[in-house]
Amino acid sequence: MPMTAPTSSNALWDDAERRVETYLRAMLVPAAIRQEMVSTIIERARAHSDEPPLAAAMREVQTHLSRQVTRTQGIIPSTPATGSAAWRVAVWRHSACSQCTWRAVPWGSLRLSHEGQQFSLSGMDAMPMVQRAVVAPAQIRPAPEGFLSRLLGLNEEQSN
Amino acid sequence: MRTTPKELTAIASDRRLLLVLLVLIPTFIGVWMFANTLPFGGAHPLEIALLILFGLLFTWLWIGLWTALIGFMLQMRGNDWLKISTLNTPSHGRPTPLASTAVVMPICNEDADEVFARLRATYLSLQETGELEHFRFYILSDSNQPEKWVDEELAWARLCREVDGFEKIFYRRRRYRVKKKSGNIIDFMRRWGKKHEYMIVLDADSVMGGASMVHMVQAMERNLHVGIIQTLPVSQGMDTLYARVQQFAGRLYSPMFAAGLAWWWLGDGQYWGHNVIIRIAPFMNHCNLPRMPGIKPFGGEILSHDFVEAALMNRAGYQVWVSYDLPGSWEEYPPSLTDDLKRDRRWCQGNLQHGGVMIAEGLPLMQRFLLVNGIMSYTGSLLWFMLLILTTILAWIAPPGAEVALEQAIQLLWITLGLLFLPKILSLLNALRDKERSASFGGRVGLSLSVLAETLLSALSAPVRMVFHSRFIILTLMNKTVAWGAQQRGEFVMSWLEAARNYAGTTLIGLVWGVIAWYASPVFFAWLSPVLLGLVLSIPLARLTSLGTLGRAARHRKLFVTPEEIQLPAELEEYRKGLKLYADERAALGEVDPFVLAVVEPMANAIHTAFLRPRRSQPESVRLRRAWMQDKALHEGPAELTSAERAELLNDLDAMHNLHQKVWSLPEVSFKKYWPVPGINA
Repeated sequence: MPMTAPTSSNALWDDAERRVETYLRAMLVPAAIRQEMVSTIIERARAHSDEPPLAAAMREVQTHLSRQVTRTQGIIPSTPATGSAAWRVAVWRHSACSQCTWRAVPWGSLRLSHEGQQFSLSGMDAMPMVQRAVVAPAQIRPAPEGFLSRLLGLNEEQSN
Repeated sequence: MRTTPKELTAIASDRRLLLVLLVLIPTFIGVWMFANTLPFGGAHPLEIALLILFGLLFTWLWIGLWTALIGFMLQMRGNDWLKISTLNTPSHGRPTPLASTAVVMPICNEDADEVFARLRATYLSLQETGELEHFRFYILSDSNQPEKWVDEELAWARLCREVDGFEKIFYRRRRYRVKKKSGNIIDFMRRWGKKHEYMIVLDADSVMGGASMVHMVQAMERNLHVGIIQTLPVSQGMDTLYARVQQFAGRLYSPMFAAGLAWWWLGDGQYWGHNVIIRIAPFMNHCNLPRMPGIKPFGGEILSHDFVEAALMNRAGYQVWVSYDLPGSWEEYPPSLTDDLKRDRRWCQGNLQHGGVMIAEGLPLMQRFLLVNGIMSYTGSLLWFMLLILTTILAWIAPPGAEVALEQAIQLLWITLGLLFLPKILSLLNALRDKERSASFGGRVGLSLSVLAETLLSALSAPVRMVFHSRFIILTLMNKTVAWGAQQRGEFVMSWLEAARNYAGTTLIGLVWGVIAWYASPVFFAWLSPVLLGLVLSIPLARLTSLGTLGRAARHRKLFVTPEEIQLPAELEEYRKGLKLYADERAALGEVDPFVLAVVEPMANAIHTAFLRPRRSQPESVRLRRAWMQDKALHEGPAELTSAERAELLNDLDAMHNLHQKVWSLPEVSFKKYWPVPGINA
């Protein structure tokens, strides 16, 4: 049980709820489903009541978003933070999808791929797969002797 | 009918031989006439030095004049049969198929909105051609200012989302800026060069038309011996008086000069670093610049890479062409005389270094000459300065009543003036003869007045350049650097104080020199007065021409108008749209520190961290230092972090994830006070 007084604890949880709401709003989560998400997140966060409410709530936000990646794509991210970031990019990319703007799609049914598009962003998206090649430095050596004759193009055979 | 490389070489030799004769014969006559005008008849040691300087300068003036005259004739005739844009066009008339092409834009600490607005316009123009599938765009960032690179990442993501450019437009940032711009390009080639046949290199201020880019690839595909095709970029969108004058001059005179250059360069030319297409495989095999042996200024990293790369490409047997007739190639000009000189400072140092490259083994004779030509574009100023100083000394020591062949002196003066001004007059005539063309420069009256005013301003600024270029050369040879601030691209009003600080020395030189010339001979003073006037007026000249208000007022009065301003090309219209779009977005977001945005804003944080690689291991000392930085940012605010600390945190995936979560867990007061992002908590 938390050691703080019930009234002050409630105020802290109210603050946490507002912060989660702000976070989801910043992610452009539609109001229709935002409240339900906030309630779910806060409920889970309260289960970790040994932490300050704000910290517990924000950690749960990341876990919640990360779970979406697992749920929709079957991928288990290395950390909740990585999964959360991947999901945020997915949502952001999907928001420009011309076929279905994400506002028209219920949050829960977002998929990581849609009509061949991958809604993820990784180093591979920022740059294509590396295909390494060796690029050796060119030789720029001062002409050793007979410079003038070379300059005048008199010994082309030699330079070739 | 196909023109083989062998035939081309024969034609080039004939043309260059003709040019040599056309330059050397009048130069010798000019030197002889000059000797006759001297008080000691060319026998005094000072006079011999003068004659050498005069001969060198006169040679280059004649090269310029013949290049302009040839360009003028080509423009008048209207069909140059030997130009790269149409060389070896198949008779069947079907379009040449395209090959995979990378469009690369190296950038370094630029304004991200402007860069991406230009790239957006270029991309959309290419999309219009229906050939986008053959092109991939690469933004190659060398930015080391944390705020700049966060801006770039977000701008890249925003552009990709807007134009559906994911997997077509790529962004990478180098952490270590080895060999600056040329190293940036070589790094791209090492990693992705094998994926593409060609690359079109853009500068941060470039905009290119899609149709021209398609034509460039087709020209390369038709001519397998061609390694590089350089387009003629023209300046656009300038506001300050100085830049508008340069923009006008470039737009009116450059096509004629470029046509003339293409006539005698043919496939053995140079390229200017951007708005250019390059065949990747030979570039990778032959043009990776080594570190020059020896000590600076000739040793060390090669600073002006483009001329050297062209020479190496040519040495490897590939042609380097200038395509002067392809439209849709734009760039921007430095906004003020000071910014122009700052750029010259870098270029001067780079070109002088080519003295070491010029004697490299195996370079074609033409490339050696072009490297000398590049060196002369700055040393010419020093030679001119020396010539004037020697003339002053001669005027001082000449015996009173010394006989001077006045008639020949006047003839020589007219010839020199003709050499200097005939190219401008020819360009003017070429525009005036066509009503539509003169209308695109603001009408016949506006065009004529603009040429007159441009001539006056260039005559005033020429002595200032002479003094500064001479100083740059001397300092470079002494291995000393000149401290200037970063180059401005946009409008920046120069204060009187700054103008005085930069040009007080030039003004003083003009005043002292004027007094000496007056005491030497009032006639000599009158002869020297155009040079003296430019030097004495350098402070107001630099200050007033840096003003955007004067530039816009001139535009309003139809002065220094260019065709792009009369009829805005679709690409530039799109560029302006993009600028407005991004400015509106920025205004809607409000003032925000990009570092704060990358930490706080959920999407910005996600995009930024998507670029970072997870680290496998980290020394304990590094881990502790970064933990301490995060604590400092959390408890004292991000403003307490230095730029280096911000950069270190921005490069660390775990730190950015951690900060994001911890900042969002801060109490309301700290969250709002230290990490304000409009629309979220501010």
